Amino acid sequence: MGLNPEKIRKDFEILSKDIVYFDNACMSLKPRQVVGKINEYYREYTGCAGRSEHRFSKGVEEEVHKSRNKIAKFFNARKSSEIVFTRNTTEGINLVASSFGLKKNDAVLLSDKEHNSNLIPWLNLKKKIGIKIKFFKFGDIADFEKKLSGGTRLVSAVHTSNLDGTSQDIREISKIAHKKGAKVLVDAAQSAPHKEIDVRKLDVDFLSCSGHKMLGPTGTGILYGKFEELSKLSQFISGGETVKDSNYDSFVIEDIPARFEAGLLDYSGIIGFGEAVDYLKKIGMNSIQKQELSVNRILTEKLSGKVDILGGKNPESKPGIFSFNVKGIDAKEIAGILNSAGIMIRAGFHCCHSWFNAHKINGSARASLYFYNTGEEAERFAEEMLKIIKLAK
Amino acid sequence: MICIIALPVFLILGIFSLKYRMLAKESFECVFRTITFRKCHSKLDQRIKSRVTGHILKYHPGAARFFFKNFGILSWIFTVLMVVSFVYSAIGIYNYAAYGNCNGPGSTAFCIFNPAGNEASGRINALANCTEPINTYSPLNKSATENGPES
Repeated sequence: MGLNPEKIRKDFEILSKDIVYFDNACMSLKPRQVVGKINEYYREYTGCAGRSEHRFSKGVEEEVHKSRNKIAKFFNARKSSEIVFTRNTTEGINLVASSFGLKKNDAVLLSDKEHNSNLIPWLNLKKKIGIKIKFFKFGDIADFEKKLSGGTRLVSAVHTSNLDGTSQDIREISKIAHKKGAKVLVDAAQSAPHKEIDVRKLDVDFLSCSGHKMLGPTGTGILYGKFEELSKLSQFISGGETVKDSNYDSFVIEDIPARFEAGLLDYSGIIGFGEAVDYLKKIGMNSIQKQELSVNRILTEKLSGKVDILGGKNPESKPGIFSFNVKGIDAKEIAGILNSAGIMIRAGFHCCHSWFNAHKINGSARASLYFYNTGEEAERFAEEMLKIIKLAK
Repeated sequence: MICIIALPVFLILGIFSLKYRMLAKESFECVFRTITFRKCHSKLDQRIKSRVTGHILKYHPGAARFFFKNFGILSWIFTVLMVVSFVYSAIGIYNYAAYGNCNGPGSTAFCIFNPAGNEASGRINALANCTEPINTYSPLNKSATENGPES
């Protein structure tokens, strides 16, 4: 059954303003349930989890535990301890990059459409310890297979590209990589909010995503890791709550996942993230994707042939994102003019400078959708865009 | 080019608001790069262009198109006008400081610093010196009202 965006929009107070919010690939809006849950922590049980014995502390501990369970179920992880709380996708990738134990001449295979979050950590390792970085063409399984030669210890690939919304077959990538003995890390920042992710079906070793793109609070994210793979990782950030005991010359490391969650965590954020996952589950990931597709179809239909669409003209291959350029107008100018009309999009390189530079494209304007966006909003966007296109003629 | 105009505007507004102080800093960087024949990184001109175009577009698409298409030329025109106006203002200030009239010695033409004319300027000087009585216009002061004020 399709969702009712008008009813859903009532949960998002911010949408009562006269705006069209099409910057969801950067940041999703938050429903009142999530905001309420964050406030609940500050109103009802502000405390430290896992440290003190009072009821506030126990309350937080319980809520954080619930959140971890909800998120583990959402991604179909085997156990909740396979979920490590991070600040965002970037931190999850950095955790693996720093702790995987790569040595000189070990190769890491990336796609050619990676966000800087999944490129810079590896470039830094190349500089520091001399790892090798190889690239395969995004979505091209034959090219992937060809590039996956001996010596590749890790494949780190984006699931859905944030620059054009297209996805690649991670299940197939994982299958091939495992045959060759390589582990797989997935950047799911843009896929987790929009489609069903089953880490067991995908058979990935690690998967990182952000809470703020899936209705959760800012500064929240998770790294999923198969338990046996997480056990092999060294500590990333160490300190409070990552050890069971310490002496002046030694320490006893905590269990997984606590050993990777150093210092005081963003409890309100984690609890809010759990609530966001509940909300998404209630809506249903299939319904989410259907709604985005219906809005993207309107955009494509109205603007096809008038703008240069990145990632192809088929909205089904990229339901959440409509990335485009208009001849004669810079993408940032488009975003600026649309902003004056109350329409919010993003323009620029979307942190994928490497791809844009290699293709000699000076960025793009990107309208990114979510389930609370409506057909009327798409019509309004298209109408404004037609006015903008005329400016350059 | 527009950042040259933006700099003094944002500098003045920056006295009152942090938002404009940041924009003033950005415009300064842009002006510095422009006058040293380098490309401005901040894209402030682009942001001003799109913002103004967006506002005009709401009311008059034709005018918005004209502004968008001719932004470069318009920026140049406004920059030249601003520089010329600064130069004339500087000359005026100098003349006023040196001769008590912004149009130069012996002129009785209108001066923005001294809208009442030379006579009023003389009165202000007298007030400053406190040496001669000040004869101002008042309906009760008959000697001053015989022929009206400033006659």
